Amino acid sequence: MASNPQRMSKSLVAAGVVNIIGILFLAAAIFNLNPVTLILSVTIGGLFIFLSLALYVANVLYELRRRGIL
Amino acid sequence: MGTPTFVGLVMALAAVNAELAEYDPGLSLIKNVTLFICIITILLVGYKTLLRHKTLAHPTTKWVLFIAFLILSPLAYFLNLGIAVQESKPVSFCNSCHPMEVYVEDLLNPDSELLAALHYQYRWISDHQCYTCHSDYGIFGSAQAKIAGIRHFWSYYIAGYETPIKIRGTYNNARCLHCHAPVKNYQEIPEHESNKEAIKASKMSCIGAECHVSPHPKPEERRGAKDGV
Repeated sequence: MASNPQRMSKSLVAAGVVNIIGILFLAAAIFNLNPVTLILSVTIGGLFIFLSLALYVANVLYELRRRGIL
Repeated sequence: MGTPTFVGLVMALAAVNAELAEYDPGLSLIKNVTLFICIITILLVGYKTLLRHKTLAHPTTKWVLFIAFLILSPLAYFLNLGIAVQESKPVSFCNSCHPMEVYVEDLLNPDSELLAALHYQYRWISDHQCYTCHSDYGIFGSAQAKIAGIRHFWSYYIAGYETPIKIRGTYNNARCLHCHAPVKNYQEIPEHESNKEAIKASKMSCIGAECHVSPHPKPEERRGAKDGV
């Protein structure tokens, strides 16, 4: 079973991957704006960015609790 | 990323920028800034979480990720949202979808005497002609127009739509009155005065009867009538 730091590391990597996918959706709309890229960037891109943010915040909170700060 | 790919990306961006800068230099600048933020975010997040993930516990990495996740990413999203809202207003964007082609074709037809074509060709509306006449004024008008845009996207790509396409609900005369009501020529027409309340409440259309010609070609007059658009 993965230890706490390892689990934290994996979820941060996952947050990074999700974030990059979300940002790529935004970049696609900047390069070529059409109804499809617009909707994808605003909805799916936004969802991925929000998800990565949530993963990151969850990691920070988990780390703070583990250290007994929270 | 190889050099040819990078050069290709830069050239594509330069082409997009040249077109956009002519149209709106301010928007072009925001677009560049947003793209820069996107690239920086990808580089920072990619480097720290994928390439150097063993240093995640390092304080510098924590600060970098804090900035990338909590500041740069949301900033890029909201800047992109602003660009998307602004760039979805031109006639060319409306013309991206097939059902709009016959309407835009008439708009560009110099022989057309229909209302929308006259507004477009004489530049009675300087730009964003489709958007101006099909969205209400004020902040809620823009929000409603964007919600309508999402509904159009859904119908066009997923749910399907009935042909010939028709405007949803009743056309809001306030869109016409916003420009025309304060004009002396408009106020001098007796019918405008006698039907003032009905026109204002959109209970009486400006189009048809003995009043004004249709804004767009009727279904049977459209070039794409056979296609049912």
